[in-house]
Amino acid sequence: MALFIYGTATNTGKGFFTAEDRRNFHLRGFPGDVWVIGNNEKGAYWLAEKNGVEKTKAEAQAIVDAKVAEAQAAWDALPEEQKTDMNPRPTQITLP
Amino acid sequence: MAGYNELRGLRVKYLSADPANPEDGQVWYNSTTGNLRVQGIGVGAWSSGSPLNTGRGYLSGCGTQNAGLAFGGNPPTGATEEYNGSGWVIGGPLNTARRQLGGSGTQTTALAFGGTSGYPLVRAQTEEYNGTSWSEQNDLSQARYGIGGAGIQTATVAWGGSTTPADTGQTSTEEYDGTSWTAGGALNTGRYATGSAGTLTAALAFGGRDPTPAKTATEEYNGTAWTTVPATLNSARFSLKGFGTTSDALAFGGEAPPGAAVVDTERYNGSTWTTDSSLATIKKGMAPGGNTSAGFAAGGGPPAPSLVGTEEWNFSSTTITAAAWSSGGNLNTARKPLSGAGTQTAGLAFGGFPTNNETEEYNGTSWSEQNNLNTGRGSGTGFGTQTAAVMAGGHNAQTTTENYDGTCWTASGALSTGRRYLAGAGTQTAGLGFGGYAPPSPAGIANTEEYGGSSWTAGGNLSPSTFASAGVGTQTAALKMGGAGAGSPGPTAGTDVQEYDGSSWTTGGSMLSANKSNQGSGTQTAALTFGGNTTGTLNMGYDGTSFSTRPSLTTGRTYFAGFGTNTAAIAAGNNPAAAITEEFTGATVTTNPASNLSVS
Repeated sequence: MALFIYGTATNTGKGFFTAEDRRNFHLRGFPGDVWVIGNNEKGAYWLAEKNGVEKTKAEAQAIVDAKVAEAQAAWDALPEEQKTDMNPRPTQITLP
Repeated sequence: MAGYNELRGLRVKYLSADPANPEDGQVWYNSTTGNLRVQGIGVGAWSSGSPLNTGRGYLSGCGTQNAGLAFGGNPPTGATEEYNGSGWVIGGPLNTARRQLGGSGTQTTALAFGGTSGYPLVRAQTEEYNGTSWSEQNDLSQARYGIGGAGIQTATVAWGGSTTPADTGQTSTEEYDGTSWTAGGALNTGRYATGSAGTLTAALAFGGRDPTPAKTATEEYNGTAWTTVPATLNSARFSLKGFGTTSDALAFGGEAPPGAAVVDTERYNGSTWTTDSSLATIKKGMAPGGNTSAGFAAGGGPPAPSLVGTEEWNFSSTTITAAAWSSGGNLNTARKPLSGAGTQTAGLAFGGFPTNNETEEYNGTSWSEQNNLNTGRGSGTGFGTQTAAVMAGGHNAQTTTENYDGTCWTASGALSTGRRYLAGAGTQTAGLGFGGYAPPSPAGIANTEEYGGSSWTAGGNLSPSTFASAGVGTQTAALKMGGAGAGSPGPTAGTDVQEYDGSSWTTGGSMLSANKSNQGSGTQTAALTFGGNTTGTLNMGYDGTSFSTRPSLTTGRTYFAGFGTNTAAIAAGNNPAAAITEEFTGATVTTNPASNLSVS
């Protein structure tokens, strides 16, 4: 059995995930509203309950890659003064 | 059979209502409802604990839930971590990196033996841990991995295991007396990757493989010989873990068939195995520690990736609810890097890069827009409360200070040294601003300034100078955690921690990982720091002396606002600009309510 479920779901704020959810299954959020969810019954139910769309790992990674590329382009367009700031260029994210 | 009177020294009371403060285990008859009642029946359950610093499987463990030890693991490593019941801190590494090793003892007197450093390097090495470092001792007679073991550092029994990649299960047993290993009685069923529990003179081996199929057999060791007992595991498996005694043991996790880790937990009462509450996550090859009242299982797999998570087992009449982050209401205006102040149920977020002047109040559920800052800016510091907050400094290197009274922002006395990425602590009438950055200088600022509500005066300088650190506490008991420029040239994240006493800074316990742009909450002696440039989701707790891990944020973030206490914190915003909020709730312990007893 795969360790994780991959999906997209919009974070609607309070109650989107609860402390109990966090205790019941692994959950990590990534750019592009991508969520990596522990593959158990409660994790799968959570994604369905949030009207999420299950993705393959490759599909989820592609969404994250696109959002990172978008952020990198935005960073590249910043004035040089801001690039020398503490603000580093967004880097590639590899989903677990 | 003994009656309640004999067991408790009490008679069952006949009451018209439940007693106000019943004792744990007290039984009474409620004549109004017609029910026989009992206070706090014990139940066993796993709950999430704080994560290991390094995720890994096939490691070993020992100790207790409040003083545990995890060591070794896959890929072959010597990494050692110590658990205090709240979080893990780094310990001294094994001299021989390895996985699938045996372990016994306590957090300060542990024993590691056998294992493999990757085929064909099967190990016989034995090491003792003294709470700080491992030292090599006399080897096992037979090198093997997947070895079982139980006992203390000076009296351990090791059994089974495999000596070759052919995965042949061994029957041989060895006993360690604190100096050397001698032969013990052979297992009846040769196997490796068994579960283990007990002591040298009363050990329990259960499950395992040879190489297939997975075993259910249970054997007890009396210090001389193994006896196969009638009881068998309900769920055949290997790479399971266990703790307890020969009369009260727990078996959990494991793998069966190959490639399929399980959550199964079973409890042994000396004669039978009974299914109990499952682990939350499928896992095998974890680090176990504790007993059937309070234990832990840390790390493990399924095969890849390795897990960092810890689960805690508790059997009691109280329910422990583990700490965790949950989603909060989204900000109305997505932004970075903003500032914050207040508490989880009365919070304030304000400003943002580069000229955002929005102010929002949080009520524990949602953010609502308020009157704007007079000078829109990000990268400043915020402290105080929802009705008496301060924003100081900010992009580019401002001296601007504003006070918030719950309705409007009013300009106040300027900082003496203009800066951004400074940290702050305290209240509107007794505040603190320290560190920071004034471009183009690559170095941080050392200056500390104390705020009295309308003006700033000089305080003791930070050493080393730092910017983009987390700041919490009060004007006379502040804490600086991490940040850039700490002890290294340029904007490099540091682990440095400084404590302020109202006049000068002194070095505190180092953070577990270097970080910058992290945020914090709490006080100088009960703090959290979370998020940041280098670790994203990492959350650490500080007790005034040292750091340990806490449950991670759900979404990694930097350039955000963080505030609150160490048991009720807020993280809001992110970079790139985002509206997301998370709330941290610390662990709680509640007594199980009284329940009815059925009489048959």
